[in-house]
Amino acid sequence: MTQLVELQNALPLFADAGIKLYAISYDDVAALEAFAEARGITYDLLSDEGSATIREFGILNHHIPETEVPFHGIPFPGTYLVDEDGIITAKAFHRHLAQRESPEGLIDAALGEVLLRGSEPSTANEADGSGISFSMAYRGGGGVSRVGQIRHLVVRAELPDGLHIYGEPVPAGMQATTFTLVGPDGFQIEPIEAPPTEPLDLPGVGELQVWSGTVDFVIPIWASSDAVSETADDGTKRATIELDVAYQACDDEACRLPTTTRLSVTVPVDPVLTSTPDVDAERPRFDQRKWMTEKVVKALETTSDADAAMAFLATTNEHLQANREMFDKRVDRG
Amino acid sequence: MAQQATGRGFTDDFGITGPLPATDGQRIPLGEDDPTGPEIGTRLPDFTLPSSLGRTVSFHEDRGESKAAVVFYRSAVW
Repeated sequence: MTQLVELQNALPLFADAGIKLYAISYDDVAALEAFAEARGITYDLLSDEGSATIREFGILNHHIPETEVPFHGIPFPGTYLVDEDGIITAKAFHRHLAQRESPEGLIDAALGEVLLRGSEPSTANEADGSGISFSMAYRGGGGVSRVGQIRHLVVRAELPDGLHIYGEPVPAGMQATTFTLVGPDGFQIEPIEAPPTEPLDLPGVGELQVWSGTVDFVIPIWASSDAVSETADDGTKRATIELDVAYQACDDEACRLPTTTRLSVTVPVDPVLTSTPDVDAERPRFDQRKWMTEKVVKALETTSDADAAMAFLATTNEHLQANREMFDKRVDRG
Repeated sequence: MAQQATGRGFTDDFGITGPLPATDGQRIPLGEDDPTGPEIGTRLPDFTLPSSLGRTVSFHEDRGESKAAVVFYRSAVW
């Protein structure tokens, strides 16, 4: 749900990029209409009730057996980006079912480049003794951290003419450019997306891989919990993300000593997307439990093994009861 | 995959805390061998589905000559 609202918030960005947005789930149209009204969703929420399209795409979550109603029928969550000819240019499927790509990440993938808008939370360090400086921006979700939503740290290295830094591998004693997340706890980074290196033939050493000029390193980062490191006076929660960059700068003749610089950026943390602008407070409430019940009844009529489905419902009833408080909280919020 | 009870919910190997798994099984992440559907470089399969906006969308016809993002998600309800 958080993803759907984030996409709504980013709708102008999609329009600017010339990308039409569609979202598909196994929900019925009535449930989608209620959600769209409650959260002010103005793009198409398409109803694949019965999961025929999900099956046709081959992305039905097959870990959930048919008898596990009403959960059977959901897809592995993911996004396809297509070009003007309808050809898939990128896919975003993530390992954890709670991980979602940020809207900005999808747009970057569609356009094939990261376009910083200048409004992202960012920081820059002082140039080092060689004139090298690093800056870091937090891209995605409008600069707000939410659990499971993938953002990108965009680390820009600006190197004076004649200097370069190294990619892997490097000979012993030299420092390749590496990025280490220092904190806070609860944030995790994924493998870095670095631009291609250029080969540099160093006499007596061999061919090395280098970057020079202005280089953007993109590091996917996501919070696995409400990773809050500070709470402001007004109750606003924030996290200060710290990243160490280890590097070694050389010119064609000599190398500086390996060095490490620390970059930090502070971002607001919104544990659950609690507010949507421009939504009427008098919006209708969607009865989730009624929906669940109807879905179960409908599924029981069509399942090939009603006994197994009933047994499943009995064994999971306890968990569902325990989850009621959490579900209610979510319904209250949206 | 190990899951730990943490008060009201479960925390899995990824460090994500959520409600108790509704099933007796575990919240299974996308495995290496799990499908992600049509491949990059192929045309996205067409589909025709009813929309929350009170219309029916035939994907390729509706997007015209525009780029598009198609998001598959779990549910708007749970």
